[in-house]
Amino acid sequence: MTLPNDFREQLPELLDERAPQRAPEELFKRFAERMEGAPQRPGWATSERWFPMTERVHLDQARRMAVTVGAILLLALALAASFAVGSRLVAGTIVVAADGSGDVTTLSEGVAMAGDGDTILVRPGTYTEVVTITQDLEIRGDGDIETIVIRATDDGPSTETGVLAGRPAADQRYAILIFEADPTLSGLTFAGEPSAVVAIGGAPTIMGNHFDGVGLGQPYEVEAIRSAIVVGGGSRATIRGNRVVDSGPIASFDLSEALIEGNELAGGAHIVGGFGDAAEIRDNHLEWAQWGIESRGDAAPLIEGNTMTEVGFPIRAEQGAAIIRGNHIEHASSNETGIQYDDGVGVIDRNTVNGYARGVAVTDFDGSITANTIDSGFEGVNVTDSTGTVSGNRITAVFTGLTLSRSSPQVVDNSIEGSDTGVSIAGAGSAPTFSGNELCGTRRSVAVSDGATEPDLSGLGNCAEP
Amino acid sequence: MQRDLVLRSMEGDRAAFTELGRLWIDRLYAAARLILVDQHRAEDATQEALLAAWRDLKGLRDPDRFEPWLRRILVNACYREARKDQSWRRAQTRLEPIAGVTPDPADQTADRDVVDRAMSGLDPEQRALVVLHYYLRLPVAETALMLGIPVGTVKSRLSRTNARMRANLEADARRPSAVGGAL
Repeated sequence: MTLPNDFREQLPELLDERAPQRAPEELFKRFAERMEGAPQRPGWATSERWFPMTERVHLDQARRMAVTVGAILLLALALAASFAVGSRLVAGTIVVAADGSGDVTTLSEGVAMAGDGDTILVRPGTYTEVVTITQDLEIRGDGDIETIVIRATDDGPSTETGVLAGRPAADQRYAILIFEADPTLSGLTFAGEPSAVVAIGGAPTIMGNHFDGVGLGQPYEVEAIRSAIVVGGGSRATIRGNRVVDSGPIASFDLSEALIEGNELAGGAHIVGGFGDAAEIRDNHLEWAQWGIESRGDAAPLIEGNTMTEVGFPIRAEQGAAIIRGNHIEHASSNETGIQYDDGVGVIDRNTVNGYARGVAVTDFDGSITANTIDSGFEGVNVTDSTGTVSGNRITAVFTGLTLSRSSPQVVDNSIEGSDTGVSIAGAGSAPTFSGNELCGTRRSVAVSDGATEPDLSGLGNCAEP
Repeated sequence: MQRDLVLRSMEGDRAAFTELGRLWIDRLYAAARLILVDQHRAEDATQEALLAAWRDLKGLRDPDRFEPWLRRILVNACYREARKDQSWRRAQTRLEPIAGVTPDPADQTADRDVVDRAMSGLDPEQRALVVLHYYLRLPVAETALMLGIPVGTVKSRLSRTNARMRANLEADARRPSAVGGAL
């Protein structure tokens, strides 16, 4: 036997030789047999439903029978079932009350009893529990939201599969784990330091809840992140209208397509998206946080219409193709950057950024910075090692309106006002092109330094004096 | 044809998905076998991946992305299967023969030995990386998407994995008792 001269180049063919050409005959037979009895996910256009909880078998059978004999009999069976389970007023509704006034006293019991389509009403009380949900049910607070508290504990189990698929997340402890299901959670207050809600796969709806002091710990270690809400595994969660205070982030990872909309976050809570995501993060309000909205890894989120007040790093994206559009970012006086994008091909469009040292800064960026309104202390827009387009922006900055370092973007139709230097071009290899730009009130129109070649400046005109 | 089957399956057509399974089972099994080595684990992972795909089909938004979507499920099924048993490392170094491969030509046997020896000791993630990139010929970006890690991480892991495989082969070559003599 001889060692291949270039093993790596030959590896594809070697693997072709090594791989079995056919699966064992028995394997397909077993698969086909299991397919005949395999449950279908709810929501498909068949009457067959999947009730994974063994406690529900009798109800499942009753429902199947009802489907076959008609809706009237179904109603009769449902009524009979409701009498059979004592205080359950309506078949499919389970009341959880810590004080014993409901059907059960713990959320875990309620979830164990419930099947797809059922509703669990949670009455005031503190429920210190760890609950796994695999059904498409609804859990709704029934009373003053502040008095209905779901509390996670640090000694609870951690999810085996991990939010980051294929990699264990041993520290991923939680109050509620939603696994490949589409439940709705609303009207609840979550407390306790572990993550409050973890969703892997599925399309859950988490709306109108309060998260107070949850998901603390190591917020910037992705593998061990603790969050108020964290979704992964391709989840299509809807996270809407929640209030998250003094808590870890709302986080979306691992090819998820979460809709994160209309939430209020304060006191440190922020929103983070991860690799492969296509989340929509829109119309949220964040204030008094170190971080605002982050897109990490090769993701393509839509970050639109969010407002941020006094947030340290409002929007940061790295890699991917994020669309950052129509956000309003305000700070009394920050030394940081309003919108930062590194190593991507995204769009930064129609945002308003006020009060930051830098309004927008990009590095290794091949996207577009368009129609933003920026009022910043140090620089308006900083473009480093990038190409792309800078167009239609209205920039006011104390020092430099637009800095181009080793970059060659098309700079079109921008208005730069009140700056010490309108445009700074630095570094060998910088070859920007200018067209239709206006400089107003700048002490120096253009500064060229560090080996940059002076470009054709005909596209940098002065605006009419007021 | 596949697209039609996918669309019908997404509507809940069980027979259509069974047919999709027939079309895909050989390719899935081959990849699972390369990742997991052990025949029974590969069978389990293949079957679980197909059944999981059936359950989750409504999560597939674009039927034209069925292929990478299914492969990703398979890779995750392989990870889960590997994690079930801590003795995976022992199992994956047994170098058992793979059924269904024509064993006759001496050079093919040598090739299989080379692959087995090179991949000996790689963990499931590394094996998955090799299978996706070199066996399925997925570009680095697609491999990254499949594994849920950044492109840069794929590149660095590929580099480390290649170095490891190369080292395995060189170590084996230095071993006088190596099957087939010195490499």
